[in-house]
Amino acid sequence: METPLFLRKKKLFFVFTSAAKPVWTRYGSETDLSTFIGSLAAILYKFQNYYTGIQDSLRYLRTADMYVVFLCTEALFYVCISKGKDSLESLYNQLRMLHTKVISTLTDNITTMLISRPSYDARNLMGGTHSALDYLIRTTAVSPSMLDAFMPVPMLAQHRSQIQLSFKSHLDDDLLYGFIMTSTSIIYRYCRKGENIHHIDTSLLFNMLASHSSLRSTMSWTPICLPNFSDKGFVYAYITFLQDSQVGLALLSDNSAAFKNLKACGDAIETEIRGLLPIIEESVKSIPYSVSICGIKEFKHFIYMTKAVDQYTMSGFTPSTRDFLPEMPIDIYKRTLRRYFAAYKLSNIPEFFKGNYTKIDTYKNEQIVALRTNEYVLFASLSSMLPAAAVVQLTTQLLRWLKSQEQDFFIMR
Amino acid sequence: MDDNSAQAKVVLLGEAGVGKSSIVLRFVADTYHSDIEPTIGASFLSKIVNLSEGTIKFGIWDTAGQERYHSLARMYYAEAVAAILVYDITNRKSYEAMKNWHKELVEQGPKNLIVAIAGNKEDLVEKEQVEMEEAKSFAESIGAIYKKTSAKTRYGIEQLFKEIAIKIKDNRSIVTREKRGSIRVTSAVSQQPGVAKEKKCCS
Repeated sequence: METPLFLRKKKLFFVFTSAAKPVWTRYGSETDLSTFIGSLAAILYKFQNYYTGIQDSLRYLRTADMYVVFLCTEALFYVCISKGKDSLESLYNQLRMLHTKVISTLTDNITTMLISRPSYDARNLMGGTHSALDYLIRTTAVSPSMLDAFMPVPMLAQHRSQIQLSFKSHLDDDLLYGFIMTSTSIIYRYCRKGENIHHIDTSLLFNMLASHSSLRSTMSWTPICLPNFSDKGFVYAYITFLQDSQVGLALLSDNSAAFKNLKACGDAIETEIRGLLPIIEESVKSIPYSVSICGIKEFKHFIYMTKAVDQYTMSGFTPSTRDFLPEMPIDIYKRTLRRYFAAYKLSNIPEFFKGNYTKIDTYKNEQIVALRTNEYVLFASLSSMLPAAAVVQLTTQLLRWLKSQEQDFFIMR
Repeated sequence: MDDNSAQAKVVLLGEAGVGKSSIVLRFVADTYHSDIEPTIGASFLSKIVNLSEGTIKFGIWDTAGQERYHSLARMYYAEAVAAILVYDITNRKSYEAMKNWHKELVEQGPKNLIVAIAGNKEDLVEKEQVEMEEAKSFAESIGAIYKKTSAKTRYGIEQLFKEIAIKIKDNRSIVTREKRGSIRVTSAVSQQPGVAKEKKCCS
């Protein structure tokens, strides 16, 4: 039998309902794929039939060069077929993000609806989201998802607090969250007093802004479901771009009638931060930054996350754009990321690692350090020639430097 | 407000891919791209039109056509003075969808809403699936403006908005006259309400 073209792709994603109705596919058309998706669904059910009574479902299948990974939610099923080298954890994370994006588009009402009508054709509901889902897959594939954090652009703390000040002096009762971002970077984030904002909700908003170029041409008032705020309904985003710039302002409200108020609020903020535009644009251009800024030549790469805020920073590579410096070509970065995943894996076993976690893995061409304390997580890659004592000493030095730079790397409260 | 300048909210409704955003972009910025991305939510644009009777500032809500946004459309048309219902002349399904939009507006839309129907993609007239006569007589039956348009070639776009502007101006002048009438009513001049009512009938 002739292999359909789409099966030759390296990484396939499918979304379908419990009645095996296709909802979305990365390649090919949902209609052409109905037989293939039917078989995937049949495999899932067969296994479920074998193990009735056990509250579990098929998680993955493995062949010599391929993973088939399943994520079963209440009403929707997600499958990834990967011929790449991605780790299982990273593939699961991609499927989970895909599900979050579907909920973010349709709210969790889709679950209720599909439970009562499993054969409902949900394809049309996802209309116009293909580029956003594809973008999500491309960025999550190279993100350090084990960190539960997002990456803002570095900016001098004094400049970031000027932006903060312009938000704080124009607050509106309807304003829930506020963002200054470009299609590649997050610059500032505001959250209403007493509310929290989850890093996944942050990423979802960023994904919308980054993947829909139609938002860039005009001002918009757009519903988006942020599942960690509420998966039952939409919040509304007023989105506008500062004139003649790539810098966007997004103001969100839980009140659907707040357009006028948020627009007034946005106009005021826009006027105030206009003067900061060159600084913002400069900071956007500053990533990816070279690992050499830490001043310790033995390091090839680092990722640092502080738990005080849900943010990380990394050298040499930018996941949102896949831009990289010559010191960290994408293939090397992907390999390093896989090694970070591997080094960090055991830290998730709570019986063993309640407190601090330290792991140093030695490979032929590098040593990988994974550190976790109650305050931060650090991943770093160093030369393989160094003795263990030197690695420890250099890592301490790096941590001290990173700690001193936190105010500029992150959006502090 | 100055009698010669007015603001008017206009909303565009219609199925995905019929060319709502293209019509707006042609009208507001006089540009056209054959391959624009689908709108998400709704975008807001404005443009000032000069008429012999004065100027009118259009605030245009260009809504997304995807099914999942349908229930949210109300939010955008609730405050509108005019709605442009767009369909694609080469796609009968989009014509039927346009009729459903009209039904919804009658049931849930604001009163006295000015309705215009735009049969878009006139440049593809050889692939036409909905004949102009049919659409025109439907438009007449509901008292709507009808225009064939092509965002690609500019055909009919200016005229569409111009006719809406004129109709808005007409309605406004009736409203203003009514208002003046009611002031007299409060100053206890008899008979005036009747005059206002009569005028409303003519609208």
